[in-house]
Amino acid sequence: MKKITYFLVLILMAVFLAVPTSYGADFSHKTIEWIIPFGVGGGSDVWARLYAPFFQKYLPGNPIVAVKNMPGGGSIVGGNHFHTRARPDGLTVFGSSGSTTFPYLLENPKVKYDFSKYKIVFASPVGGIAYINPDLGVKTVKDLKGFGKPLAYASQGATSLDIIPLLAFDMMGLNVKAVFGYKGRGPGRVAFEQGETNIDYQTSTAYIKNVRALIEMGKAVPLMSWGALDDDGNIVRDAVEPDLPCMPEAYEIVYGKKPKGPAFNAWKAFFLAGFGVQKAMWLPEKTPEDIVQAYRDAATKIITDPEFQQIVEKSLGGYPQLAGEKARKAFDQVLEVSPQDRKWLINWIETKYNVKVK
Amino acid sequence: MMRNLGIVFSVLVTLAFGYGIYEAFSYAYLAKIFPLYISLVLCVLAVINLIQEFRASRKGLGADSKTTADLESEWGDIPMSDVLQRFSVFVVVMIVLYALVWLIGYPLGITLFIIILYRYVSRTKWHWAIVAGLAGLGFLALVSKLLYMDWPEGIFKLPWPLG
Amino acid sequence: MDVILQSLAVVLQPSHLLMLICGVFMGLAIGILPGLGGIVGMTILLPVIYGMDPHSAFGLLIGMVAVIPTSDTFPSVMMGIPGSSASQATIMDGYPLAKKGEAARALGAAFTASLIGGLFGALVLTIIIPIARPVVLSFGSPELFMLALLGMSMVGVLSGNKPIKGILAAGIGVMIGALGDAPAVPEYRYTFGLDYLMDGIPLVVVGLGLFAFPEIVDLMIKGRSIAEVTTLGKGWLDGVKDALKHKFIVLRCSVIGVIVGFLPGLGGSVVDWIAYGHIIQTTKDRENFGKGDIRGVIAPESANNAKEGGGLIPTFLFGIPGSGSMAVFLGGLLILGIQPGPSMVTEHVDLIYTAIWSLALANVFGAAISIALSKPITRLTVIPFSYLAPFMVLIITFASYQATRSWGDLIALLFMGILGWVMKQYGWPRPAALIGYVLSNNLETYLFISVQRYGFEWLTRTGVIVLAVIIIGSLAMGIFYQAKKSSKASGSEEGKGK
Repeated sequence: MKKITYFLVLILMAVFLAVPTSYGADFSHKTIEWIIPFGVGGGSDVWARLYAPFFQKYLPGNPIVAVKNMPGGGSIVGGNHFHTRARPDGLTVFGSSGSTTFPYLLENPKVKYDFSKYKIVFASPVGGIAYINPDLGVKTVKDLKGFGKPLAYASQGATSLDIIPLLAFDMMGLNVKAVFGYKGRGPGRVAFEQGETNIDYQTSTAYIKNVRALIEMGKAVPLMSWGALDDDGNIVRDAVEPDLPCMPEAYEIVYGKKPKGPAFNAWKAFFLAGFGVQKAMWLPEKTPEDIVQAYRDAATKIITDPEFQQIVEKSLGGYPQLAGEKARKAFDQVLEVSPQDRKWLINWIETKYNVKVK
Repeated sequence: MMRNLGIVFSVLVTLAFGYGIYEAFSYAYLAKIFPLYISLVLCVLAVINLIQEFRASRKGLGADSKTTADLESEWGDIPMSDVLQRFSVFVVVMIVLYALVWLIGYPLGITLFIIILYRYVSRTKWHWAIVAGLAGLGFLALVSKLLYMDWPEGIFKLPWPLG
Repeated sequence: MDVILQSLAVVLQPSHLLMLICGVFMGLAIGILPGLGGIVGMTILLPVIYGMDPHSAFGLLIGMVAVIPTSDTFPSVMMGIPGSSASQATIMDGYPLAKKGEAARALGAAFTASLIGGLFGALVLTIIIPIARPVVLSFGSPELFMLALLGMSMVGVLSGNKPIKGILAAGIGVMIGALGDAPAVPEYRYTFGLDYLMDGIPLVVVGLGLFAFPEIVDLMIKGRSIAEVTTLGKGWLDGVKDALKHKFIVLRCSVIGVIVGFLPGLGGSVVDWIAYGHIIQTTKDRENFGKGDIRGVIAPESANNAKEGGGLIPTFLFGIPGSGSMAVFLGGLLILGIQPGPSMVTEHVDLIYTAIWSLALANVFGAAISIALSKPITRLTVIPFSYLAPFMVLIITFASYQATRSWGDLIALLFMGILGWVMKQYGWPRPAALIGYVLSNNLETYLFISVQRYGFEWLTRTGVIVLAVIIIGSLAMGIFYQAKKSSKASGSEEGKGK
């Protein structure tokens, strides 16, 4: 008699425990709002809209996933809105990009959002490849050793993604003058073609479409890629240009030893934020585990969907997308940048470019 | 009257550029150059303009402030004081509209606005006013559904498409 | 040559044509409403193409882009409300014509000019493509700065007999444009700590505030209809004839449109003003400009459609938008998986020609539909304005709100509106302010980059000197004409009440 009761209780408990899990993560007849703090037609907007229909397909209940653009303040407005208004019910998610992460890392006082509190769903990496004007006589990274000629780089601003190339060039000992005011890498590339600047980088998709043609015409010489992340979080060569050294390698070629110290630590953290896990989807703080898991599972399924893989090849640079735990581990590296390294970077920006990192 | 107000505006413009100069000083070097120099030049020009206007008003010249570039604004037989009064009424109406929208949301707010204006300004019968209001509401509903356009929500949240 | 014919064949396929026409309809429907034309319209319509198959979507996209400058003409003529990125200068003579009851004529002329301008622009484009790259590349930051300055010099033309107020008005515009984030530094200027102002005041809000709001108020105060006469005068057919009569103006201005349009990042903003200023400077009898001279409508309208065609060049060849609507168009291309860049001239030349032909055809459809619509729509100009006013308020508040979807838009609209009304009453030319605002960013950015990069030697570049000569020339012509006029004016012209 006691054994039967015992079993019955166990079964009842199992039933009770099973039901809430599936109850919480069903989005049938719901609309999910994906906040993108950028304008229609921009890179992040395109990214989200490429993913959205697949989330509709793989989230339980097949909800509608609607992209809501909230541009402003360089993506700070959208981020703040998500932080203050999004409820932990899985119906609002946020898409961040490098320009959202940077002000956060640089402790911009206008930033209210806090990535350390949110739950990441997935992340999309991006790569960058640097190239130089052939008239300067540089054929490979080796020639940069002791290269003293002044260079000009078209920059958007000292607190933008340009921190990556500028710091990298600085670490390599190059004398690069940052010309501020360009509205993005597109105009930057045009400036390079015009001869207004002589060193530049492009993100991989732009590089493939535009810079390769320049290289073939003899108008550009590729130098290095920033790099890509391997599964253990190390920076390795970018698959888009496997013959080019990644930044840490390039450093080693020039100086004969591996890069380290506050400059490199800062660079690595910001490289991750700006490229390694440039774009990411987030759920608000206190979102229940089952909802987070539902999203992460959906993301994992999307990544393995062959139709989506084609999209990744065509429009997202072909980089392996990171879902769930992988994304979390990678982004944690961004969040773990030490306060000293962060201070070092802020100081570097302020002294070198005479810019107050407000 | 109009001339005097015109001068008041010119004074405000001069002060505005003065403020522009003052504010610009506090900006980082790269951000200050442009607004600083522009404000400086413009402040000087504004002062010159002010002097010209004073001279003209003292000489009692006509309020000749029209330019070939601007849209004609001949008031004919409506006295300027009336014009200003009606303008102020319009501004107040807009503020009331905004307050209404803030309370009950845009669609209902603007619909009521249309209805009230039709009834009391155009003096139509109530049913036409309501038709007009509904036309406005219908338009909003259409663009919201088809093109995902948004509107401000009020404090009191109403069901779609009223709020 | 066969590429050109081949792409024509592609364009003429029924499925593509259908999509094109759909795009045209959509662009017209949205663009016709004041404040929702131009960039705003594109931003609203763009999400529609997501998820469509690329071939149909491409037709839709081009259809929409092509008619934005066409549909913008309706609010410009009917109420003097400038569109977001084109049809700004059309308000100068288009609106006075509407007030005379000749709205249909203005519209007819505008659409015909747009059509011919657009087609001619497409033709010029086709021929220019081989040399487009080197030409675009020769326009570096210093040259673009001079071009922006050229646009600013148009203010002189527009200020008539009150140059100081004109410059000051332009200055007000420039300062409003400087509001918000500085181009190169994380510095937020003149924001009074308000989050809304961090990005500056959007163009839609400035345009509607400065122009639409005062018009609504004034029309309400006067208590009449838009047309100050009770019967509608000349119709659209007269307008068409006018445009054909002045065909050289149309052709000249469309060339200006294409060339300025294809300079990256700048063209769109000022092409119509440059065309308008040019036509004034090169005509002997300028008495009626600003009062309803039909040529003042023909010139900018020919230029602005041509510029959309021109704008395709930097967009396709460099991935740099030639104007605001091109920026959104570019986003559309990216969604369709089309990556613009130098490879396009070699790999995807067919796509470029398809775009050009589509643009040309869309122009034709757009013009035809618009002309058909002009008669009924111009009837609105004789209705007592109080019937239209509430809807106008709806449209302008709604359109402004679409800029950033925050209350700031509505409040800024009210402030700009009050400013605009006061400026109108006391003779401060608002078009000058608009030009200043639109060019503010470009002026600062290009000057900035030029000085940073080249120190001061950029002043000696050939392009810079050529443009400087053009600017000085145009200013001189303006002053010279003014002097001639005032010497003639001793006495007899006083009574004209200028």
